[in-house]
Amino acid sequence: MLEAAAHQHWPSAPAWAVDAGILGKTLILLALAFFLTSILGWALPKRTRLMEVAAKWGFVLGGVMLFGAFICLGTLFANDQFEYTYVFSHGDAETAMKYKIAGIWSGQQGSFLLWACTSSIFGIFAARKAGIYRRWFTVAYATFLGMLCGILAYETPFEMARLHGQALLPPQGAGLTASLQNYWVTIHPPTIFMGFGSLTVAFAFGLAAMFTRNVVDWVPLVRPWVILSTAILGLGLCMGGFWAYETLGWGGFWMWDPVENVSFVPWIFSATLLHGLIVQVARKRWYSGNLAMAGLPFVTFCYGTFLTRSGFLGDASVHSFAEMNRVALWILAVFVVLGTLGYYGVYAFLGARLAKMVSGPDDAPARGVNREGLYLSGVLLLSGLSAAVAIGMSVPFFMSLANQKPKAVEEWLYHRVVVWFFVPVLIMMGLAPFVSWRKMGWLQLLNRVLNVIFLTIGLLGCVLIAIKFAPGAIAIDQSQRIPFPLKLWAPLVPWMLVLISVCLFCLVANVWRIVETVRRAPFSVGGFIAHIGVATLMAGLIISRGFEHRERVDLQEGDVASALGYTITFRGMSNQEEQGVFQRDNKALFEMDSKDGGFTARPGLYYEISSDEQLKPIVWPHVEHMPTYDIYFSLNPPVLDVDDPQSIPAGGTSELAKGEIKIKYNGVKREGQPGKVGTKFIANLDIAVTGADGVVRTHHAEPSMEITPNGIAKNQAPVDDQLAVTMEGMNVGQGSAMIQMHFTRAIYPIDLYYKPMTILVWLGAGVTALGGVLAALYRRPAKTAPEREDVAA
Amino acid sequence: MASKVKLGAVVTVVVALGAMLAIGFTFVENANPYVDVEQALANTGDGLHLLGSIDKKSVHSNPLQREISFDLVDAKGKTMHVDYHGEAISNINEADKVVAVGHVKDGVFLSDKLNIKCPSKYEDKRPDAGKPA
Repeated sequence: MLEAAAHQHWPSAPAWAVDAGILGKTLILLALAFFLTSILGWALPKRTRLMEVAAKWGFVLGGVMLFGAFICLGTLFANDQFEYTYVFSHGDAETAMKYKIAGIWSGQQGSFLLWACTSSIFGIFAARKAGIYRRWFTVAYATFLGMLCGILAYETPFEMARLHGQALLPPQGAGLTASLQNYWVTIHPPTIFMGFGSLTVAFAFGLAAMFTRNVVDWVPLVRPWVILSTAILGLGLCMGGFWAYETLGWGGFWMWDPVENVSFVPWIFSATLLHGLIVQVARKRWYSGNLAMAGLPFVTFCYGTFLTRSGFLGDASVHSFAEMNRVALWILAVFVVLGTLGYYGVYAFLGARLAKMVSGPDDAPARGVNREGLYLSGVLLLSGLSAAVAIGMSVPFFMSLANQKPKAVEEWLYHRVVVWFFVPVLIMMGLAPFVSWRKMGWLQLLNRVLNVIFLTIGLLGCVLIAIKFAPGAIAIDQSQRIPFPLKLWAPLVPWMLVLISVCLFCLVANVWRIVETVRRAPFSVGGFIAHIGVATLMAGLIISRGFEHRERVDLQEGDVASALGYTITFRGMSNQEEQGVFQRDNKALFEMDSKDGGFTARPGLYYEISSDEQLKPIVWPHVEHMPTYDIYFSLNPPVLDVDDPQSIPAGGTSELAKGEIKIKYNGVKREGQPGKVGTKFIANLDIAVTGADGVVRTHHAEPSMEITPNGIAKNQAPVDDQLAVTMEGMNVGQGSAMIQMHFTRAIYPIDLYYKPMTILVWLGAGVTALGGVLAALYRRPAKTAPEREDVAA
Repeated sequence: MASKVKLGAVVTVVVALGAMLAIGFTFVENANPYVDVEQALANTGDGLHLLGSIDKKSVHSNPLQREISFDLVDAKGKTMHVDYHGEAISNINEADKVVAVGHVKDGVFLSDKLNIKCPSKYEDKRPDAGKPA
């Protein structure tokens, strides 16, 4: 890890940093102690007032200790204290502060600390309003946080690397990989970890409801947290998609990778629970189902975390997962098993019975439709969707448990399975708001949504017109087909129209309902807004991927190319300084002109010197957002060499570029004395080049290698106006030479994507989150519920 | 009424279980196997996931044709030549391990999708460059 040879000149680690590490470790142990105090204080059947106060404050102080540890770690990162192994592995002295901060959650230990911190925020605030459930809520929550503290104590981020017993400060850390250095690395992980942290609330509330033997009154208390959790986690997921879109160079948002699924499954279960709670509030039913569902988001997230950290998916994912320390992994595995068995054990022996005692009668009408029925179908579909993804994600795990060869579940397979859930779910989301809780005939329902259906058809017509006269001179290929289940092929455009119309229906229906209710209860529309957001988001994903159009061009410096209706001209680099291409902020500038106007594409391009002294180009795509489409400009690393160096024996020939270039090596001559400065070895080459006109022209070229005071210089020789040649080396014994052909001007291979309506993805994500937050605020408990259990009837 | 509700619940549970089983079966049946060199040679199918590390000296890349060829060394130390033709991949030299997706023809692994595993320092992001099929 730390190079032994270089460390002699390193200064000693500053005393404050050594203390900060000790403090960090101590704070984690203190947090564990506080959580244990809280568990003991609350769990004992006979409690004094003092014990209860200690238990309450223990829970809060445990959280404060965790934050203290987080601040310690942050301080070490901000001040480049690379004597800590974790800071060394993820920190970088030369990078911007935002990336230093992002280093905190770049690895296993730091992300667990972040998870513990975000979980404790939600725990502390939810406990204050937990009323009669506070006792068991805190016990369950503190047990989980204590478990995280245990993992953090075993796998501490405050581990110092000592060389010969000394704490020395290396000048530089390994830092974030170049491809991660993007503003999203600072925003996305904290957001999604807030989402993960919030999942614990429903789990702890569910357990508390069963232990408190009151499965009624917890619902209004937990409901705003579940809504908030769904909103934040959804926002975090969207941010992950945006990050992938902006940096990965293939222009996609989502690819059903295990890491994405680990967040997606609990998010859908969270949304499922949220709808179950609505039914319980409105109909005084589903007590049992909601208790069962309350555990799922948290349990599936812990299970997913275990899967991704365990190494079972090591071969099945493109992510490089850091495998956990075995002891820490065992703690996590035991917690997953105990958490699941514990929760569902209590549910089976206690929860289900309690729920049966209070559940209201099934007075739903036998005929027709009611909202509860639609919610039930929706909840089943959402659970199915979530379970399907969980199954897909677990295939490698199950197969290795069964001693089978591992298999890969790919993106297309997920699409093929989940589409069967998405389509009906979107239809439900449009229909359910129109159905009353009481009796309603099918005809009556049809009557209510008739306007929505007509509006949808009208809007679909507008979409058709838009497809016909798509802007940017991009015609949609009408003959395209996409694979369908049962080895069938569906024509693209009609299938896309089906999907779009489903999204439109959901969107129009919810807008309609907002218009109907906004005057009566202006703050009650959060749910409808969230539905609109989901429909918009889905439409954006479907349209931008389905109607995507791609062209490839290879552009040489100074040349002009055209693609997607744009004329593309390379304008040079943004950083004009010498060595500017080694600066991380360097951009390659491409002028994009079309008859409707233009823009300058500024994809990132800079070079690093890799560990084997090779020039390593790093590229970032450029995304130009237009109102109705994105132009996704993916620059590939510039090509300077025609091919790899060719080893050619004297008198021999070599062919390049599919025979368009033929090199004949006639031999080498020497000028000067061997080993003396100024001596040259000159290769004698005849190079036949087939031009664009098909005519073969032969050029004579004499590249050379010269001994200079600074080593060997390779003198390039021109071939024609496009090509040049160098001699990279020679083997005197074999009489061969290494010949390298170059382009005189670098070639920039570009993949250009036209992605219609990508704006809907962004808009949808924002609207969903807004709707969620509105709904959470609307459903927040009006006042703190009574705290002591004996108050409950 | 009660018996009707129970029947409904039973039907729902049976249908749900059936659906889950069907989905699980679909996933397992359609999932593509990971193979080593020996298994790849014995397998005639497409969509094989050949897992191994890249022999860095053998990498030969032609970005203009979106082509990369290299020798892949599997966990047992056996080598197979891989010809990749697909999305441009810029970080092939950073790659630690790769998964080449494709089929075998005349002893050469022809791949149209390459998943690159880089020694990433942040586990939550994919250093993947190949667009999924």
